[in-house]
Amino acid sequence: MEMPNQCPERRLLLSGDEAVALAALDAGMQLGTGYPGTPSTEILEAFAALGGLAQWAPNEKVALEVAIGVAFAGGRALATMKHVGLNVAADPLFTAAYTGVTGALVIVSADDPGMASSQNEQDNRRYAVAAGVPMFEPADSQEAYDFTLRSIEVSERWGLPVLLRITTRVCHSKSVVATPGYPAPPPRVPAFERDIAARVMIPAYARPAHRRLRRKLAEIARWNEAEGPTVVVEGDAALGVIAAGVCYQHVREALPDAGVFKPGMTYPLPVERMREFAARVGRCLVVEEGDPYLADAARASGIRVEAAPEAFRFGELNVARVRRMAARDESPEPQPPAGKPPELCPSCPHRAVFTALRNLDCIVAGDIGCYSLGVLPPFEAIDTLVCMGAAIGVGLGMRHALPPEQARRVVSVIGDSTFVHSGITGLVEMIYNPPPTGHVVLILDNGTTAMTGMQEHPGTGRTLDHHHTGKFVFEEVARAMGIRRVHVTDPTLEPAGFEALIKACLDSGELELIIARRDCLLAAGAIRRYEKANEPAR
Amino acid sequence: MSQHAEPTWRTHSCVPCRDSSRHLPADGKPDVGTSADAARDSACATSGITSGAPRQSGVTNIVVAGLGGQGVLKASDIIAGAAFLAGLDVKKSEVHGMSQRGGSVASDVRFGARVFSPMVSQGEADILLVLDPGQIEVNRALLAPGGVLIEPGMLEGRRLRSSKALNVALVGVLSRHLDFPEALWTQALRSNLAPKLLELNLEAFAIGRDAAEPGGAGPRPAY
Repeated sequence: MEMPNQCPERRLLLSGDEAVALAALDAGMQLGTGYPGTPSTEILEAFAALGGLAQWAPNEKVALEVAIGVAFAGGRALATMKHVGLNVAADPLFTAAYTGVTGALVIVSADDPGMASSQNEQDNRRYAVAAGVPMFEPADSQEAYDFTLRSIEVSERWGLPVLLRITTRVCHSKSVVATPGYPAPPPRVPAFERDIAARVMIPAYARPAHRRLRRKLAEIARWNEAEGPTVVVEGDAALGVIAAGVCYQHVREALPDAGVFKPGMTYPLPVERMREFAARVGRCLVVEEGDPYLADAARASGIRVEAAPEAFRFGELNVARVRRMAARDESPEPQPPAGKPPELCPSCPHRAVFTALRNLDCIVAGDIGCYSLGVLPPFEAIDTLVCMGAAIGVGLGMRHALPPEQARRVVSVIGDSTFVHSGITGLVEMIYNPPPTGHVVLILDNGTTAMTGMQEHPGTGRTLDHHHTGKFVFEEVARAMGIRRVHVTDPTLEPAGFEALIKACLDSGELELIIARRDCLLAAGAIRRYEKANEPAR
Repeated sequence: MSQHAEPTWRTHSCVPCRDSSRHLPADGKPDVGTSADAARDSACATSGITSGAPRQSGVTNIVVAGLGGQGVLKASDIIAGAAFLAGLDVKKSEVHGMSQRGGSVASDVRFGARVFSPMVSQGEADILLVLDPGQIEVNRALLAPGGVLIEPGMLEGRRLRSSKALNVALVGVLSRHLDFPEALWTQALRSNLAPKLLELNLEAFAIGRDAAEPGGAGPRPAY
């Protein structure tokens, strides 16, 4: 299709997240699904605000499975998550690479180098290699828009899921997006086409599927070499830099005279073009956040590059750090003065819970959410935090191993949204393998996914855009699962009584579930508004 | 750009048009001095683009800092919005997630002919706008030598209808240090605030703009 060389119809100031959402809308994505997680959350919120069909799933695994179903049906699907969310969704990811898709499947992994709001800074570029899915890495909002469309293009052309790997600084930075307003060809009308050998991964079908995947990746590698979205900036013959994503921006500013090689598709990499570039410069430095992914790939192909010293593997990069890398300056880096740490809001209902747990000297297996702040003074009442849902399993493990007098002090604390995400199977484990001293699980139900910015979840009974839907009721599910002692209470009404309840549960030696229910203060007004709006008209 | 039969739709064959200077109104708003080359060597994902080294051009660096809940991000949105409306290249960066929990929040705004990194480096902020007096020292190292500090003390003796509009009032002070016309600021406020909050904030902006000496002390950042 010949494209007119026209000026863009729209010039907008968008965050990377908003740009992904706009591209999804422009491309007629049938469904966006995901689980909230900084810095990815705003993608689906923006997609819904623009009029797209967006849904919060209970967790990332379910989101990806739903998206795979859409793409099997021939539709275009977007699945969004933060980097650790892709761990949860890794199981379907690896096999979806074998099955491939009929429509388009774009998986957004929003990585968080420097851990602005995460428990680790894992580098999900490794997932693209491990699963064998093509990967794009945008460097700003314009590319977030362009590469979302590119991802759909590649996904449909080769029938593969595509990973769009973005980082905090791209997600949450606003920059100018000029969208050409080209109409993408409309997505095909979903219709079921039986293809058992492609989609049923029993070993007999999976073996050829793996070979098929490797053939597709080899083709995509050739495409990326020939016409992939690679930017080469000619510069000084003495110094050339290989950088992708936001690192490219820091490099252009820190080293304005250097030549720069920026792959837009970072798996499979345009290795031969990289080789040519590296051969043209005296010194070829790789600037990347996180793991030495590009540097390892280059060196494995026999390309002579210089990776950054280990010190730069930690945290985000910025212009100053790139200057230090180029100067091979490994002296201790100046640390900015510490700001004020976040804390539980004044009058936050979680405060009553952590006060009680501290008073009772509990050993607390904690989880991910606002209530993680219970680890900070004045409470210091969380002893472990690993990943979403881990509170219950970790608490049970400690109960099994500790001497009884300590085991009896162990409590698992988990939020409402986190419980839906991955706490349910922990409860199943508790019923199936109960510790001899029993166990106490506290669900802190504040009626919202607070930490990521007040998103709905199945326990609120409202959809992403706040309309009534089926409600997952914790106490009913727990009782149906066979937990006989389920207590539902508002921890703020009578703090002494709440503390006494926890004490009684600790002493009982039984399996106890306490649901501490009180709406988040920041969300309470909005929750009332949504409920009122959802009341049936008289 | 190489041509090929497949895929049948392309996402970016209009690269030179990304040059922000092309979108300036014909009546000559700020001459940002951007060349088409600057747009071509942008990170704009275009197949096989090769170009010369970038032209160094003036970029204005602003950092807005404060505590969660004070409207740091709204203030930086308004400033970025004004620069955007002026037809400049703009980048605005922040880290949120914990920002509603009362912790330190800072947001960087950079604009000019061409901006690369979205982050302002230590010692390179032309203007530091701080909403909470306790956050001044924490952020002072960001200021460039001779940079302008804008802080709540500058509104002494002025009454705001709501303390929540402090962010916008200080943006009003800041507006005196930039060459954008007042109408453009009004437009930026209008596009970033809910209609029911607009009047209150326009008033706060005017109070801040009035409190600052027109063309007051401190250098005007060039852009």
